[in-house]
Amino acid sequence: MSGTGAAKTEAAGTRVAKTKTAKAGVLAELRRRIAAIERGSTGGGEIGGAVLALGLAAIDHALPRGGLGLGAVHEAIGSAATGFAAVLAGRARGPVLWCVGEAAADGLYGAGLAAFGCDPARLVVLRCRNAKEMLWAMEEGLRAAAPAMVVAEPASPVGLGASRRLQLAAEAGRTLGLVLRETKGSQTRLAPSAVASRWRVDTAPNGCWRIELLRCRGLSAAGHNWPGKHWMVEWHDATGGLALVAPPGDRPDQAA
Amino acid sequence: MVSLWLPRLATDRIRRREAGALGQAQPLLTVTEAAGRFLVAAVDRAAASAGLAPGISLADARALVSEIATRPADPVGDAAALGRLAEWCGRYTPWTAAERVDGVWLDITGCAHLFGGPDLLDGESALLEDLLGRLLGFGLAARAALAETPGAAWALARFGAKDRAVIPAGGLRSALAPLPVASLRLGAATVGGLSRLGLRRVGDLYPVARAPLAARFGGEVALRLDQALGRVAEPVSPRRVQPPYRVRLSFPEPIGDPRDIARGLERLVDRLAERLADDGLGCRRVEFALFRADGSVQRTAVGAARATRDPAHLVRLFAERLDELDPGFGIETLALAALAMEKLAPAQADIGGENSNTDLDPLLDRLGNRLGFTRVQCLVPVESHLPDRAQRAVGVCQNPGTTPSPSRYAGPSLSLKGRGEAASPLGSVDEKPLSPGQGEYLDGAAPKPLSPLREREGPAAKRWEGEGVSRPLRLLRWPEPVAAVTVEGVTPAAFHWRRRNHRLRRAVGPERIEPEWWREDQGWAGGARDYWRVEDEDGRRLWLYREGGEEESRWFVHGVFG
Repeated sequence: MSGTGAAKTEAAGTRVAKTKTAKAGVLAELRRRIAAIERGSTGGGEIGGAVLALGLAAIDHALPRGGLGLGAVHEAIGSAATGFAAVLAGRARGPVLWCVGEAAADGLYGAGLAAFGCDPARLVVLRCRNAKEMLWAMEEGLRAAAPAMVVAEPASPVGLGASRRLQLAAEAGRTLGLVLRETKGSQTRLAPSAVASRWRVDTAPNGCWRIELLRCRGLSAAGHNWPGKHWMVEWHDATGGLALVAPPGDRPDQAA
Repeated sequence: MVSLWLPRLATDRIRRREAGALGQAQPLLTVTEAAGRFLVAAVDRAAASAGLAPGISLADARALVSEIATRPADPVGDAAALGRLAEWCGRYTPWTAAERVDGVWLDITGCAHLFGGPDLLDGESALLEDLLGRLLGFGLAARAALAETPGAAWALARFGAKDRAVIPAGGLRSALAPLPVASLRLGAATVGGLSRLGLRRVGDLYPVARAPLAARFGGEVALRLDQALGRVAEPVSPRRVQPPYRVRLSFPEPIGDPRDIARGLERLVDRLAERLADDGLGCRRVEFALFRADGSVQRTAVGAARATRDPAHLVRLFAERLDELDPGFGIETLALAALAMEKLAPAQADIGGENSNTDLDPLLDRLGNRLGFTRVQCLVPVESHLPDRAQRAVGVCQNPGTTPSPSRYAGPSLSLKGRGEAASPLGSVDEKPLSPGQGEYLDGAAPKPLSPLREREGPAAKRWEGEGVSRPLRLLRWPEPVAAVTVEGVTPAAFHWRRRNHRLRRAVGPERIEPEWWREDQGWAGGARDYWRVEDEDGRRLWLYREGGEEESRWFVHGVFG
């Protein structure tokens, strides 16, 4: 929160006069308070609140608003990005629109999604013929406000202009958008994009995920372990949520 | 009822098509071949006045008139043209029907007053005037008559003294009296029989006793006479089932500007929505028709997942379609028709309105109309233990209104290496105790598509559970063969897939899944499969299976875990 305030203050201060700086400071302070109230009242995960929390305190607390902001588009890449999306979709309260490419060799599998708490019955799968159609559908979905979350799996990176459009649509509909790209290899160059946060989620040995926060709007490097902030997590069937994994030496090898 | 007759449809079409190549005065015939002879099928006005008539042989015709043009008859094309013409007549009334080969019925009940002009013509005469005038413009000779009964209209159109006639109420008897009996749509033999008795005019039949007529000619004569005079109702089937909820808008001058069309659409949508609201209905399909000045009709339709009558929503749905419509040389009439109607309580009416913007239906409609409704899908569990059959993607809107079917997400037939007792050839059939309150459907019967979004809580939420992490997040549409598999004992240790070598750190399995022997399934022709959940050195988790037993094993990747 202090990061938000500082960034706003800086940004405003460099451009305009002192009165404006003071105004921005007040606004930032108000925003911080609102965010704190919202986090307290909704307990995260609740649609209608301002954020969708992952349900894992270690990660949620590292985010400026205590979760992935609604009314924003986020991006997840990596080999376990689908699982990450499934967890988020499971926590979103309401229908989830999931735009997939028609030509994709694989399809979403309900039983697998259900295992991550994402009830397939809440899912609407859109089979888009091409990238243009997919972006159009995602934008419509975000703007409509009816779905709690809109996921899209574009075959190629979403450009800066397109991601801005999506961001505006998400703001208009107060909907969470997630651009999903299961990139192979770790050297993928990331295109510039207007997404609010960008995550890399990779499969790790022993059924774990390595979640890395690559970028997050409103989060400055100062005060955080940044960049390269990452967590090792795993899915707990019993609790129906993510849990941090103890350091390798401390835990027995368990089945996936 | 209006009967429209196009006595020269076949030859008029040819003249229209060959625009000007034929002289007006040159007799034109269409010719058909029957039993090795060429017979005249249709004649135009010039040929008719030269004494030629359909049915004579071409040789006779040539003997009578030397300078004739002949074309092959095209009965199929004529019928199609008549169908289009009947459709075009939809500009006057929603209720039109093609009649035999050269006529059109128009039921203009309640429509004629729309055509009453400033020149003090009554509506009916103005309508006929307009109709015949336009047909003449297309180069089609036409006659039309308006009467209370189809029979009388038919008779007057074909045998009346003038090419248009409007018979006022109560005037049927006197109007029909001077017409020949053939005007009653009687067979040639009957007409011949009547004339031998001296009954040549319809009026001659009025005083004749029914019983001897019926004894001699059967019921036909009396029936046709009664139909013409309106003593017996005569149903005529319309060309297409015309929707009762239809509104139209005609323009004094043809319009072509897309913005005008959009404005016209908005007005129509408002009127249609009002009428639907009055009757407590919503529609699931709306058709927008443009009647163009050149006589053709353009149609486009949008669908809705659930019945709606929200004007804003409907206009939005059409917005994408308007670009596809081509106004051509201008549009004279717009018509909007609600096709599939359902009851819609007033409370539901403002979905998509400002008050409730969390309803998914307007969005699904927009997506469905753009992408196609089959592409907007939900995943439905199917009772099968085969992983590729266990779910189906069903169009969300294919069968709206149905409640989720009572089915359960079947567990796999887990038989871990226990080949001895994994014996039941019925596979999972044995192990499906349905929980109370859940019905059962016959195997192979598709579950009814459900509207998942309407039932967010409740039993539906439970049906996908029970598999834990043993199923992948993504299932490959077609299992992909892997190469260079090394096996330690029965456990896979390494393989090559998608241009990469995967060395496995871990493999959990096998889980045996037997094909459903009672079903032909090409994909499962290889027999039972042993599935493994494997994890390679990078932590990537795949669903691998082996088929063909230990001797001839073939390995495939079938899914990817998150």
